[in-house]
Amino acid sequence: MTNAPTIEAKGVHAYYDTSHVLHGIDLTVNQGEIVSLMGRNGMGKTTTLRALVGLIRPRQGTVFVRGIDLTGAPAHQIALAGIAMVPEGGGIFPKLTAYENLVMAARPGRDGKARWTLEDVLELLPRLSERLRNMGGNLSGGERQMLAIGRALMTNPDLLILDEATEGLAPLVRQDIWATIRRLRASGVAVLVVDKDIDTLATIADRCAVIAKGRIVYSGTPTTLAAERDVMVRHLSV
Amino acid sequence: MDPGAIAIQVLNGLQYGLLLFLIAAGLTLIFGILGVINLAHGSFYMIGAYLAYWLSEKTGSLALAIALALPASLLLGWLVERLAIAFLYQRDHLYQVLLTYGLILIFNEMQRIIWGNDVHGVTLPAQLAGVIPLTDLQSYPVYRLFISLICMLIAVGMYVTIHSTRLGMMIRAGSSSREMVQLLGIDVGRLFGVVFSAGAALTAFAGMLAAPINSVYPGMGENILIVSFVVVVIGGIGSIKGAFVGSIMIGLADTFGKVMVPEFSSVVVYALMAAVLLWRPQGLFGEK
Amino acid sequence: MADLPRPILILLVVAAVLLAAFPFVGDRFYIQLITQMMILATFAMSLDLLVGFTGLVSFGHAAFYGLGGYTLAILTRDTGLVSLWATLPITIVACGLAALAIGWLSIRTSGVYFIMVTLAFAQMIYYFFNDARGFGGSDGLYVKTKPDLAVSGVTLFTLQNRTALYYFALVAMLASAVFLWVLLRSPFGQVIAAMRVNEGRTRSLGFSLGRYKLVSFCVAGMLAGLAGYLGAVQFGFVNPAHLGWRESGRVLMVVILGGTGTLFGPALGAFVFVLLEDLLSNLTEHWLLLMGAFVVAVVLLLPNGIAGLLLRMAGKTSAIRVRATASIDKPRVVEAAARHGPILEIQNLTKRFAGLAAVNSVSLQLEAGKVHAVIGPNGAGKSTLINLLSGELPPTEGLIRYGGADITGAPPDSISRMGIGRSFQITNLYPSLSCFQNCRIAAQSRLPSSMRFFRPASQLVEVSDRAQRALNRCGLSQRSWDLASTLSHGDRRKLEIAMVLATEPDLFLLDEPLAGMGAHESREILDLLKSVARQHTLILIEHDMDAVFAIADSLTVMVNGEIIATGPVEQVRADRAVQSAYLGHRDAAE
Repeated sequence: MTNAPTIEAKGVHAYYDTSHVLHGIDLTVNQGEIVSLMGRNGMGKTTTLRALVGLIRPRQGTVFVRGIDLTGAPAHQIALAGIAMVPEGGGIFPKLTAYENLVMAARPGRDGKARWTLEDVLELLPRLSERLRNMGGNLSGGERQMLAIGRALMTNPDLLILDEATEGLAPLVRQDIWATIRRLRASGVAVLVVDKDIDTLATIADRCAVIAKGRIVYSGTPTTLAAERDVMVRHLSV
Repeated sequence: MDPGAIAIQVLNGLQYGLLLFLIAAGLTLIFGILGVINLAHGSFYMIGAYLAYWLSEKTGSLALAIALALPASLLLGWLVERLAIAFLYQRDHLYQVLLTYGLILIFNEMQRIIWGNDVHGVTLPAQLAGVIPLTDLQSYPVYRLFISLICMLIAVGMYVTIHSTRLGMMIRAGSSSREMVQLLGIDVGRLFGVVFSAGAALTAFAGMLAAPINSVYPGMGENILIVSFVVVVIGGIGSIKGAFVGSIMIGLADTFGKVMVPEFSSVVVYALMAAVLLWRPQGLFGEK
Repeated sequence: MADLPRPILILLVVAAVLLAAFPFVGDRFYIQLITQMMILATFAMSLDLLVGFTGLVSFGHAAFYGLGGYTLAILTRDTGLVSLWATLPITIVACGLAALAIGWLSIRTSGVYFIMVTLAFAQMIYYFFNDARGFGGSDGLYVKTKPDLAVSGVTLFTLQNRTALYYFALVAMLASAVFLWVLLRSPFGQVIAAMRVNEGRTRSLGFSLGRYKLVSFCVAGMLAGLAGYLGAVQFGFVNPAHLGWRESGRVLMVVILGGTGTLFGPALGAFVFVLLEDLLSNLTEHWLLLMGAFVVAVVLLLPNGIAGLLLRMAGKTSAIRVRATASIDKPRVVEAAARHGPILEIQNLTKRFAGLAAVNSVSLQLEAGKVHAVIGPNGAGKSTLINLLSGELPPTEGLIRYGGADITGAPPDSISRMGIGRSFQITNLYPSLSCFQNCRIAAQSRLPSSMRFFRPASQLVEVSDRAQRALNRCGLSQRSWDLASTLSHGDRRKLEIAMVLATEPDLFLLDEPLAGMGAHESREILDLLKSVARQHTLILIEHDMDAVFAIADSLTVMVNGEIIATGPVEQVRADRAVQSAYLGHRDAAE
């Protein structure tokens, strides 16, 4: 059990009403690794993430968290099992201050240890310390993303899931976020990243998966992916 | 009117408004956070009053009666939420209205079965039964001041809870995004149960406080329910600040209305609502 | 709705005949009881118009019922009027005026506010009659003389007579049902049906909903007044309780018990309800407890009411049986791409939200008859651009010219009438209407006015034809009568496109038409788009690059609200700046 993958999806099928949107998704994130999930829009990336965290109930297939079957469990239970998700746009609460956003759901990790305290988070994301008293709704896009990441870290998760965390942000801010993710891996948190910046992902991720029309069409390391020109062109580039 | 009389009416208006606030705050929270329109909200007011009456007869002390009735109301609120209201989340407002209307019928009839059709009075504890002199000629009942004071304390307590505690943060967050709250590991179902029970208990408490002044009679829940709807509409759904401002406005308008246009006093409250709606259809502090 | 399954029609006809025959065999008590039922049925049907067909949940409908009764009581007390000719029209008009006033104020609100507001206004009227002098206070008023009907000085009948009242109530109920049925089949009725199912979509088709809601509210108020009038005649008095929230709750209960949105359901519900009340009140003094439990049970177990049960038993799965009034195969004359030169010109178009420019000084020229794709990362401003072009959003700066005419800032319905149609990224259909009805309401939106009440909508042949043609073009003719909610994801997208086709635009704005489609479905939609492209100009936002290259003539790339490249597809594809915008090269010129 101690070496079980942090999260493992096997053969997950999901539907929106009658529409079959995920066709047998297999996705694994092992302890402490960074996995990237790539693919064009509308291909099923966000749906896959939602199925992993319990917002969508898989019609078939299983989702295991550290070896425990949590298929179909309610979202808050999966979160308590150590999975934290930062949805697209961050999802911070506009009517709470940055401080309140951070503190609201803060808790020690599963093992009872609080590796991420408020001080640690502010050290990682220094820009937030100046904004603690500002309302969430008044922060810039980049600050909101940082806040969302910080908030997720305050729950001391085993896995951090980031959905398009750099979307729509200025290049410098994007740099900041990538740097943050790099520092996270040093702390032992596993990360599942969905993003369009393929080149940067190649330098960060341990493994990557490519999704197209609801199916995983490639799974491997960034280097081997780079060699697969065909996959790159068909599923990822313009 | 001479200043003394005006002062009395202002105090009355404030007292009524503050009492209304307890009820309207619960109603607006339940709607704003849970998304449920709850017609049976007034029934808790009635239940609180009847419990206060019954227990004070049994124990001889209003204070003790309230001390016992409060936890009972919390429990009842929790049960109602789990057994009935939980079915209404995400459902059409039409069904919410109907189901809670059915609950009104059930509660009213149960009250009649248990306590009958008579009107009952509740005796004030001796310490609060006196009057305070205001001017040479006029004095004001201590108990009414006591009610106002307690309600103000509760209002302050609510403000502090909502703005400084984790629970308050969750409540404010829950009104923006239920899903995100769940993603953070918070059991939204339990949060709802807490919010509903608190709302029910507050309303019941208002009934308990008001019982000595307004007496206890069948159907008392519905009259206050409709007025609290008006408060919520004026203040804006989901806004505690709106509920506070709306309650005070209605409290004063109704009280002065009774004095100045006695034949149409009941209409004043609704006319006020119409005026607010013409200006801001989403209420004073509501979101569009 | 207008076409009920045969078994149910037969049931209703038989019931009507039985009702007509009943007084010959029934005894006094039952004649009175059934009169009560029929009056409640009229009342309930009027509320169903509001709740079931217009989607307005009113918790104050009894105000108009009570008002009807009070008007009659006041007329007979203060004027000498006893004639049906006089008292009935006056009552109905009075209720209509009251409904106009209250409706105008209430309709400014929606959803829960509307429920509370109607409740509060009804209470206001309740307290008015309860407290004001001259209306009998809480005891109410007697109806001094019951109305009669006289023609040329000869009294034909008086409503004092129990049997006469029975038949009059029966006629009133049947007439109301027929009137509502006619109303609901009219173009007006189509709009309110659409509004109830999907208000947002109906608004973006250009209908001004407030007016339709108000008309509905007034008609419902007048019919409720009619019921109240009869109720007052039957019991000989009115009191404020008739106006109160309990009465409003009761009739709402009847509508739900019967089944909202069916008309016959609430009528049946009325009969069942009165019977139930009679039975239960004889069982125990505390029958309201049982009634309350019954209400809770109905809400939880029988959400579609009695009508829902009956319809299910009659085996109804699709919306309506075929009413073939539309001619199916008239081919449309192929034209549109005869125009030359740019059909759409955008100059320095900018849209700012709170200081942030979602679309920043965009300039573009599009050729008629071509397919133009707009691509870019999320948040690039593509959807905002479409919203600006379709009139959903007014621009902050800049100019839009269509076919030479300046359309900057025009509202969606004008833009739709000018020939620009748009489809939505998240399919925005009418799920509980048939595919045909979906297209028809879209086609109907192009009429100058839908406020026509007495001719059935099916007589608008042009409208029906357009709808059917659109469905055929999209390969949905087999599914014309199926409910939109039963369609697969791909078929729903096709229906979305059909709805736009039904408005017969020249320029099509398509927001991610292939989003969420599987491979097979994508191909089908793509083929459909290719066929549509032959006769129309298309602007298409898409992420599916295979599709874009298969269909587009020209390509525009947007990033952060600005255009970074535009031109023929191959040229843009090879552009380095474009490649870096997608692949995230840090060293590109930025």
